[in-house]
Amino acid sequence: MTRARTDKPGRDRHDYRVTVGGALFLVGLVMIAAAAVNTQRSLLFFIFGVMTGAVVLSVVVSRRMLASVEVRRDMSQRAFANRVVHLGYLLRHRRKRGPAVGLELAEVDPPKHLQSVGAYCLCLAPGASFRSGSRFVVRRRGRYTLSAVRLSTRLPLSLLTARREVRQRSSLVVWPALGRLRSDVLARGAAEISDGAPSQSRSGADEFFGLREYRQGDNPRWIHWRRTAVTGRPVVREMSKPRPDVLYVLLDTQLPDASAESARRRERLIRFAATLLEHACHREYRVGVALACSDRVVVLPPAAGRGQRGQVLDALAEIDDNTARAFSEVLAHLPRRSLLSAQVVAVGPDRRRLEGLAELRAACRRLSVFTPEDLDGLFDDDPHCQAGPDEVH
Amino acid sequence: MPLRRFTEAELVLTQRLHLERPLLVLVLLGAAGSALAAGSVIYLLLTVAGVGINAAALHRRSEVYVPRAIVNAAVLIATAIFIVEFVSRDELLPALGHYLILMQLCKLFEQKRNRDYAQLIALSLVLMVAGAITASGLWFGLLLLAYLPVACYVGMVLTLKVSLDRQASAHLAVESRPIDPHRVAWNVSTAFPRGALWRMAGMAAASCALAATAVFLVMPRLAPRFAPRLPVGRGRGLSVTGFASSIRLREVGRIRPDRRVVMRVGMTSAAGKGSLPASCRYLRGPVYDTYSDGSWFLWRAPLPRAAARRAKPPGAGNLLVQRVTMAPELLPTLFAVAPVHRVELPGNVELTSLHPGLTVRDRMYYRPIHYAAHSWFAPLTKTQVDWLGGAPGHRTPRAVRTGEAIPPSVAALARHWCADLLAQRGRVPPGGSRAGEMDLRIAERIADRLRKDYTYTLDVPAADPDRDPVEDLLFRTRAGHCELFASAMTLMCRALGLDARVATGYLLDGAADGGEYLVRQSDAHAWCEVYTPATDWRIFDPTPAGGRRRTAGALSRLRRLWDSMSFFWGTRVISYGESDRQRLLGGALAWCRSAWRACASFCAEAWEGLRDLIVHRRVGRDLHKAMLALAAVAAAAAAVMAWRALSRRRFGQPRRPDRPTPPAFYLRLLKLLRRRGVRPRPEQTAREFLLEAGARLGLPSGALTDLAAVLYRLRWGHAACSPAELDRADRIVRDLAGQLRRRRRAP
Repeated sequence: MTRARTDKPGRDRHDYRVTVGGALFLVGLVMIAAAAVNTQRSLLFFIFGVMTGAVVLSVVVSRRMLASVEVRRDMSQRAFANRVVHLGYLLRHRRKRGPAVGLELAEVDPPKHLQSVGAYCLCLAPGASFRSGSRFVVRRRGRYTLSAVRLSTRLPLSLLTARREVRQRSSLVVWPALGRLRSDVLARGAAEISDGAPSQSRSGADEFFGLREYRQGDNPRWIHWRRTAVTGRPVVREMSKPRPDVLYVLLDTQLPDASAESARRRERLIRFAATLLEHACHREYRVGVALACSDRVVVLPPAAGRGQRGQVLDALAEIDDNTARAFSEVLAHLPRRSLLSAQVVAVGPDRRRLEGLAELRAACRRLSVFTPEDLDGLFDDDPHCQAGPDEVH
Repeated sequence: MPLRRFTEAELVLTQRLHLERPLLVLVLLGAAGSALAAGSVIYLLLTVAGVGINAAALHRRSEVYVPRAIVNAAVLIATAIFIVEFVSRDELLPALGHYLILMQLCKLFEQKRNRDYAQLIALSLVLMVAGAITASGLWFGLLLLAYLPVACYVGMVLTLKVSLDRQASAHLAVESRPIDPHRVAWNVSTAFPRGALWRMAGMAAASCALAATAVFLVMPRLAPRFAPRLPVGRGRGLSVTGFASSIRLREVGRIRPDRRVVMRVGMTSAAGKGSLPASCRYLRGPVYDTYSDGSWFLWRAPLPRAAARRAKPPGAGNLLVQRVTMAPELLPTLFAVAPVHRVELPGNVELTSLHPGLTVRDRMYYRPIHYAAHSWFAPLTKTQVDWLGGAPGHRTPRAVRTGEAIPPSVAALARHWCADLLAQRGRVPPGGSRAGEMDLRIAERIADRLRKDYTYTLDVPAADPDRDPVEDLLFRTRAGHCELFASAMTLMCRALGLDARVATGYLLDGAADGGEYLVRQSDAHAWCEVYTPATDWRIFDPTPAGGRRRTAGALSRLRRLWDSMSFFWGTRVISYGESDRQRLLGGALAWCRSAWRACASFCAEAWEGLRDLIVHRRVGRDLHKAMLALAAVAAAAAAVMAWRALSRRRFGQPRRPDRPTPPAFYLRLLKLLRRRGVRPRPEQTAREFLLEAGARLGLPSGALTDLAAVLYRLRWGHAACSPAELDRADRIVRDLAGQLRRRRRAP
């Protein structure tokens, strides 16, 4: 979750827009002023004053209400496509007297796919806070930026809409939608491929590493009771984790032609790669990815953890529509040493375009090649992606 | 009449109820303002019925409406009524007001959406504007003040409803299935901010009223272009009071007393308040001299030219000054106790006649007029009578009255009533003072007979067209009102050779309120004036008693208060003009200047005092004053800061829950340990602190654990301990204190 800097009212932009009712009211005001001047009826002067006061009051009260409200946007930084994203707003009324009523929140110049987000607060008592939010689903992967929040109200009399733009920059990276792998593409799990020698590291809880004396803070469950009884001092088991396997995904992002079908197939490959990487991360693989963008070749060496998962999926999310860089260029950037123990998965639109794989096969532990035709029996795509256009809900 | 089923969203958004209740009140207020201003009670009743039906339906959580075709037909009928009314009466504003009321009724019975609510509010506003053009009474001002907060509240609620509906529809469009009510309506259905909105509406109304007052006071006034076309004019008042160029006795039917206050008169006399004679109660206006065919005609006398004006009028102890504020409906006549010898008028009014009645020409006749009239009350001195006798038009030219036809029966009756006095008068030489006295006795006799033998009524029976109205009064109906009696007496006096005339004006009734009289339209009166060379014109009132009912008590006082406020409203608010504005702004400017001067002189004095202190080491009075002022300012600032601090404490920070007070034994133990230098740390619990203290001071841990258990049970378990347990805890603390004391004494 990202929390933007608290806005300062002095820096925000205020503006007003006259509503249709307000325009009619102003016309009526002018007519009453003319009637009052012509007839010199005192009560008409009074009514003219009342209407003028109403206009001034609308300007002052609405501005005061908006200026007294703090706005904060809470939104996830990352989300998968076709999954619900929660966008929260926190409003806090700073003043001691007078409520803020009828507050509308909307994003300023939102991306095309995020038009419908916003919130509404009916009444915010003095000193009170209000949490509201909307939820939406983004169909298309990519990076979406929200620059500012517009707080507006028509209160008190709906003569004009007072608006205040609160600058808060947030971005949302929408990762490719996840599908489902029908068969286990990864040949074996991390435990299955660990070799017979004990691990060199002492972390984890998968494999016995040795015994040592009990130290304060050790979990009593790991006390080796038999050895303890023999030695007369508490002794605990020390466990280790087998060395994780490495998955390297190589993605050919260059479109073979400019047809929509090619683009659709390419998107499907990206979704497959994302699903595979997510699956591998879930099984504690060290994952890496190499792909070509329009301006550079992205090579992320294999690593484990949440950070690496985020970086890998970010790279997939931000793939351009097309690139001039061929798959061979991606292969040229690969660090060969890291491939030695890696399971490499090459994904591309056409098997013939994946050049240089023969050399790679010798350099890595295992190489798998997947094209869209191979995915039919292997990968169930997200149903929303099969159905329709890229939209947001 | 079908009832509309609510959609799910509307059912959730219960603010429709919050909107429609005050909206109906607003509709009623707007229609009442317009209908009462135009005097159309039927339209008001129609609106009340329509609002009542809607309110009843609302109470049943339903909406009443008729099909659109019927509404359209009703609109067409309303338009036809408007056209017919406008063509037949040739008055646009009342017809327009009626049309708008009918349109509002049509809207009330239409299927209402947000646009219809907005139209209802707009119609109501237009109706109030129409009422403001037509009406000028205080009641309308109060109605307007009541209208303002309701209108603000309705406007706010409608704004909220429109926003909420838009939000709901936006979410309904996005969501694939019906949303949960609590998510659509947010916190509307359970926590509609009615109180907050009412407070905001009240403040908004007060702000608008303040702004309106400022605009009203400051906005420059010009001459009206269409004022003569407005329905409120002076003709209405004149037709009621009869202060026209003639009195037509045949046309007078039933007179309805009008309690409108038209004048406020303050009287000051050189002789003091308590010594004013009865004649000072008669404020004379137009005087009628020529009688013909049952009608009296106005006596017009020009103002003497400047060259012909004589020297200063003689003063005496019977001087009476009347300061009058008069409604503009009574112009061009001014009313004062006769005879008037001097009038002080505002600059925009020009006097055109001084005798017998005051007549003015006012360039802005729709404004109230403030004037002061200087009169002499009876008895007049000889120099005063002589001064008056030389005024042009003061006496009736006998030539005008030569062609009068006094009915013979009236003359005969006068001779019959005064036969003895006439015989005495025949023995007195004409033209002398005795003859004048006899004339007055004759007039008094006639007035007495009229007062005793006849009755007063405002419901005069239909006059016989073939007879003279006075003859009809004296011999057939024997009942009438003041004009008839004044006419009868005047004709009878003239039949006996007396100089008499009919005077009209106001008879001041009731006690003066702080030296001021409130004069109502119903106080209009007519009487007879008889001239003798020694007394000038003497007032005789032949109207029988019984025509005036006096009311007393709280209701009467309330009525007087209301009348007084109405008159103030009419003369100070409705008739606020350019001269008033200039006076007000001039006064404000002068006040600002004087305040600035006072401030500057104060600063100069303070500086002088300070210089005296620095240079001469002398503390003067100026310095004392400056120090006092500074102290006052500092005290005010301190009060403001204290108030702000208190309010911040009250509103700004959420109140913390009260912490439970530790039990007495624990407080004693804490005190004891504090003396030994052991204090609890913030992160320590009570048990940890006690155990640590025990370890440091070598106290038995069992006793301390027991104390901690009792403390925890009291504080966190909210379980009361028995007195025995508390005694035991006290005893433990005392033992611990003893141990510590002994250990300290030990070497």
